Amino acid sequence: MNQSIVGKYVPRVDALDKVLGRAKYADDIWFEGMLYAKVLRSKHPHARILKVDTSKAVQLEGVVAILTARDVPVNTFGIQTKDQVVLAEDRVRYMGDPVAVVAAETEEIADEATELIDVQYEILPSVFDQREALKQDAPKVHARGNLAAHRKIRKGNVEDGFAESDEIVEDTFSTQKSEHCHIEPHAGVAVVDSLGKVTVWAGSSLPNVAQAELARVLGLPMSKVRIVQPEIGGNFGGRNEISIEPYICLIAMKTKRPVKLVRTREEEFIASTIRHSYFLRYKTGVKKDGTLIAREIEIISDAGAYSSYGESSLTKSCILAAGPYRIPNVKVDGYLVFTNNPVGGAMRGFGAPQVHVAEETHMDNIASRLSIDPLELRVKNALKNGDTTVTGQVLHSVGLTETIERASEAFGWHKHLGEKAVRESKVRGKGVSCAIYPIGLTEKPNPSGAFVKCNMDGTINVIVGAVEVGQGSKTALSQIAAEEFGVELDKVNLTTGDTDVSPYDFGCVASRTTYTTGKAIQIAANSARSILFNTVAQELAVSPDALEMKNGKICVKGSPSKGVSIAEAVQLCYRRGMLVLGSGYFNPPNNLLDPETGRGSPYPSYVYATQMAEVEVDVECGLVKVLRIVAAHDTGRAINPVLVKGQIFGGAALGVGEALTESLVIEEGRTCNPNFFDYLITSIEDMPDVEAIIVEELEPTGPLGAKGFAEATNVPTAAAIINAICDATGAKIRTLPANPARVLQALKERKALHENWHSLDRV
Amino acid sequence: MSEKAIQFTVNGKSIQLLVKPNSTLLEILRDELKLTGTKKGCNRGDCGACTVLIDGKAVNSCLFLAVKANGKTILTVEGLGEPGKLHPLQEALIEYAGLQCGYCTPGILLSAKALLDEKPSPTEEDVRRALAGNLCRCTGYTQIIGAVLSAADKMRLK
Repeated sequence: MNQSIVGKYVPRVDALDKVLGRAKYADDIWFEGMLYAKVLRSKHPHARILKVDTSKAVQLEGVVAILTARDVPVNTFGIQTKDQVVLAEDRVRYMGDPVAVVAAETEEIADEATELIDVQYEILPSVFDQREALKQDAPKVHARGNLAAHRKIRKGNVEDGFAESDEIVEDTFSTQKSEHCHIEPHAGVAVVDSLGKVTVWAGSSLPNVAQAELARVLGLPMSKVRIVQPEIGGNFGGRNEISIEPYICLIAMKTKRPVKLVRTREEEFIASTIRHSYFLRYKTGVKKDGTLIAREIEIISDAGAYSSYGESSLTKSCILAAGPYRIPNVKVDGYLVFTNNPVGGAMRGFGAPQVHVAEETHMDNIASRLSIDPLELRVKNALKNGDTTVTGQVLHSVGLTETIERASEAFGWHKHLGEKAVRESKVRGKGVSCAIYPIGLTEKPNPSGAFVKCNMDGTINVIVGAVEVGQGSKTALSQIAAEEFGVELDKVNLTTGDTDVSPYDFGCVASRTTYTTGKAIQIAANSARSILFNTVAQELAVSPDALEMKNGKICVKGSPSKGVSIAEAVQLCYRRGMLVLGSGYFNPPNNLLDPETGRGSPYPSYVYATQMAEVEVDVECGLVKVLRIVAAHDTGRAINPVLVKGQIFGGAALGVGEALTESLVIEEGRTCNPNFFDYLITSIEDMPDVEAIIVEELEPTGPLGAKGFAEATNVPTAAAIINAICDATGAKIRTLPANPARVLQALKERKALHENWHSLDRV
Repeated sequence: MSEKAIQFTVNGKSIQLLVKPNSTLLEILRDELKLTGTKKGCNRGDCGACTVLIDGKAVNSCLFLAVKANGKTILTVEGLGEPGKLHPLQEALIEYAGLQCGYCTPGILLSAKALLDEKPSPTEEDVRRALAGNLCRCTGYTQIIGAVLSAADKMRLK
């Protein structure tokens, strides 16, 4: 097969509409007679609802409908455990919990009406710290208790390992809650037709999954619920569950009018899912030469008020917590704990950033204890082909060492950074972090399907359930399809995310789309191709095996002149009464982990990364500036290298934010900084120069050797920055983000330690 | 609330409208004129997704009252270019992959246009300063910076 389209840059297939301002996002869709909906949310972090009185609100002119819990046919949802309510019945468990929805002729009226709804609460005791919530006498968030899950990994014997070790190093770390901050808020429009079928335009990363969930909530058969993807303004895990869809559908069903709901930015911060905050404890036994012998880890994750993706992200955390290293003895215990905080859900990296920042700063602490170069410690223990993970999975296509080497060379790790003290108060330092990240859902089946039809003029339609959330999947998947048929990219038309027509796909989550949906397209293309090959082979009186597809033609291998165009081949099939249709699906090979030992192969494969950061710390004011980052990522075959680099730049930007500025400030359950002025994401002025390096360790199970890598891009960034701060100043940051106050505090502790040490020395 | 009559030019077209005194320019552009290329990201001037040019200056249209647009000339993304006749900034964003989800893209384009109109040979620092009010969560900005600098080069050669 000619590999002419895969592996090179082609512009995004969706770029033109986007630069023209013509791409239609959910809020850009209008219908005649459309209503506007607004949600009333709980004012208390934990309370019993005594009464919801909507009588005043109903009387406001322009109000058309009000929903409360009793209007929801099946009032539960949740991606794993269905413990979340569409509208609160008798209890609210966090300050974003929805209580009622108003639909009115204008957004303003709907907003005003929510304030006229009288909700009487009986306030209940709350708990906001996951460690507190584990105590016997803590207020119970759910009847089943606050411990939502406990996941375990057991490999070898850590006690024996510690006994064998020359040094034991211990650390604790805590990470913050952060928000996806896709610039498009959650928004949607719903319409009901005269037969009662509901159609929803709302950005979702997983429309097929959402369709099933929504149909269940609405009490409708799935065939009566259609989810169509408009353009989606970013995901990062923020659209991995249904959110506003039930409200607009229920109102549309009740009023027979189109309904729109657009969340405010404040609601995005308060009521959407967030990244779980973790408390982490690490203990490692190591030989003097740096060989890692044993590692014991405890993770306590704040689930917030409901389960959402808490357990699966905790499981991923446990699997990755020991880092990308060969360690014979590992014990991990992960606890997921309910609190009255906002709900933790899926967010880019899905449990990996938290454990990596703890683990990789711990690695630097080990290196410092042993007086070894931090990079050398990583090289020595780096996972290689044939090594086994903490779950006992034997690894293949491990590109870690190459990412270390390439990053080190590009960064100049072994060169002097130049003068450390640049200006009086500003000092510079360097830091490194490695990472491992899996492809696809943890332990569970997560197939993707694809349909292919070859048209009479030789063009190809491909239909998939995966969606474009901004990451470039439409382009990469189109490239894979074009490659399969040996045609130019403009001959392929890819349709995504319309549940009426697309095959099932678990969705654009878990860095799985290129890998899983791409593979499904290959399988579907192969089934269509075999129809074409069989027919052309008969026509040319050769064996189908003798044929190949190249440059828009099906011809005898090695004799490009002996063949027909794809258009001619499709027409030939048609004249014989055949249609050239293909379908296929792919499920990433994985299996369930043993609940007691964590043994198993939870993923088909992994990607690896090394990032290095150079920072400048102002020791007087505590401000950290990231000067540059080198990010080397094993991505498998890069289907579109420029878009791959775009993912690396974007991931690094998120990593810089989570390292230095981003943190939801939640006091007694109230989100105090629900806007972009007080919650600081990385701006163009904060963004360092990033050198992105692609390492292509081909994945035998992936399409054309591709892996899924997009979430790995922000996983190592924070640790590289925190390690660089320590290199520059000696300040050990053990709580994210490293904002000026924390940096100054760490510098003070460092100074106190230093002075203490000196005074002891004198004794 | 009594509505006020205003007249302004949007993308070269003269428009007369009755607007409420509390309507923002963003609301008028999107809801009345159906120019949905201008996006609402935060509605409080923090994210820049709603950036348009008012008499050549980049402005957050969510903070700009529609009545104040009376007599002004406004450019939105829809007026920047069209297929086959793209603005060099639009071409450069495509060429450099300086967009992902595309939601911040219209605002980025207009802030960048205001910069290049004023300063045809910007430095990287200038680009960073001009786009400091346009938040993007996808791209990490790197490819946007490359695109704007390259568009500036191309526009100077023309």
